[in-house]
Amino acid sequence: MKLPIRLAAALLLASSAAAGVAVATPDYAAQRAAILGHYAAEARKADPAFKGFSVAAGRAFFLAHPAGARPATPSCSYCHTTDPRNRGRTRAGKVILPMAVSRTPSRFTKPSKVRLWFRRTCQSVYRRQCTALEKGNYITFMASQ
Amino acid sequence: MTRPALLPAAPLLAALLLSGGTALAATPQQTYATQCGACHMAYPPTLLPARSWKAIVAGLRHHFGEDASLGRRDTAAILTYLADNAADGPLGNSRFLMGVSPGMTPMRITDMPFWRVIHARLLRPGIGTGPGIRKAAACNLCHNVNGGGEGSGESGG
Repeated sequence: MKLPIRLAAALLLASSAAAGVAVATPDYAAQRAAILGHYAAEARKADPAFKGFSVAAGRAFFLAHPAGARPATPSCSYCHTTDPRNRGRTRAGKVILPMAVSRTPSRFTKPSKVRLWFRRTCQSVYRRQCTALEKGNYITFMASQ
Repeated sequence: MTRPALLPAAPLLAALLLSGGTALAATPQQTYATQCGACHMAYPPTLLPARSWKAIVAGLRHHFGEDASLGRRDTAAILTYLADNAADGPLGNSRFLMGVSPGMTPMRITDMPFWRVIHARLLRPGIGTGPGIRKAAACNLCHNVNGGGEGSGESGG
């Protein structure tokens, strides 16, 4: 029997939708808390006096134009706009969904993705790796927005 | 004015449907679309020869002014996909090699002779390459291609 392509596609869609129902909604808040907890432990290791992450420091870090930034990426806000609740745009014209957690709830919930993007964007904007304190402040700021 | 689509949507759609979601391992093509497509259109691999893709992937740490490096596994998967589907790859279309000598390794699609002939109008000062490169790099501004939709380039951590 030859299954019409449209019917086959509909069946596939339906089966994947059914599979989706069986999977519980991801607990983004818990996943984000786990990532923040990891950075908090790292920050405490670097500085035993570490008290916690700061929204204000995260905001300043996001808005700063570091002296050594690569010319193409002078600051985080260059692509993300100065209000992280806005959608940003890459230099090549792609839309970047808002970094603010209120607008994009899945932000900072997947460790591998968080690691990858901090590693590269810190290198582009700050020309170095960010510290655990800076990463934690950044996420805390975005979670407050 | 309607312009031709660069690639038909069917293969990608079929791949997405067959994958049944994110739980299954991503195919090299999906990895390419997700990772490279986060910042720019996932350019059809047949628009450059394999040696160009090798050079571009090898230099992701300094990729047009940004660090676009990836983990080893994703890097290898993407290079395999690009080389297989490159203009001179087993699945590519060699007509895009028009005017490219074996000694040339173009690092931009906009450096390919076929592109410059077809897009001569965009090469006028201020429109195409140079200050206007952002427009020339976004094929989807004029062409109806996969990966051009708003939000499809979701990126970041």
